[in-house]
Amino acid sequence: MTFTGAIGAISLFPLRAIIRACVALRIHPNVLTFTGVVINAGAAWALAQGRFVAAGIIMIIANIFDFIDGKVAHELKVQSAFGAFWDSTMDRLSDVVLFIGLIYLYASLGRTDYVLLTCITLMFTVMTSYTRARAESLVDTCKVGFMERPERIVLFMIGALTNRMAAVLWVICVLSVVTVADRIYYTWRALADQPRGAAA
Amino acid sequence: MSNVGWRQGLWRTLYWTYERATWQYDLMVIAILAFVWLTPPDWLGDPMARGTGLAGWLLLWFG
Repeated sequence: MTFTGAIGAISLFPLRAIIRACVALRIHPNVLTFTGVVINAGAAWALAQGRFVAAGIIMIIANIFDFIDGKVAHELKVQSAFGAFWDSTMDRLSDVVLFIGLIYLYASLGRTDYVLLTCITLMFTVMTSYTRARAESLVDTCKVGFMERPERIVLFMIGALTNRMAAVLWVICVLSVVTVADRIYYTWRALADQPRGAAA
Repeated sequence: MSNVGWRQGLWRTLYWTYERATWQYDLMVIAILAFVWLTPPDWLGDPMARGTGLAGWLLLWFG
């Protein structure tokens, strides 16, 4: 087993108990998804105040909800197309709200350089999701590029909990730009390989 | 490693197609964490952190 695989397997133990509790209480997964967003807004507020450790802890709690909603939907057999749409829409909100917290913080510190870096990172974060969603309306899958949402969230938590947000922002920014480029290249290649008129 | 090997390695790092929980993924995670924790905050002009960070501590201990 790999290092990251082992961390994932260990993290699953406490999450299984939470999933079982939510299933026993029959909490609707869409409610869990929304709760995650609301808690993430709290993390954004903490980021905006410069309270990074608090933000990191709140982010962990918020993302537990985000992680378990799909599993609870599966266990309760209430998976739906709307649930998937709701989940990915709320994910975008969660992403953006954290960046807004950071933008507020850096603006209040008078650091326009980091306001700009955070805005560019936010832009490419949104582009990362958009390029995949749009590509998958044209080709089967577009799962290339390293910096996807789970990586971003874990990095955000590490940045907050160890007060290394600037380095984390640089990493997310550069790798998000590369991920967007990967997806554009992949889609271009995939569409070029298709017979003419196959994709609308 | 040959020139072609380096170029292929760089291309595969940039054009990322590996799954999670592979050794390539682990290597990327280690590289990212090394950058995040070892780069002195002063070098990046970090608005919230100061000093030389973990790299400074390591240099102090082992230097």
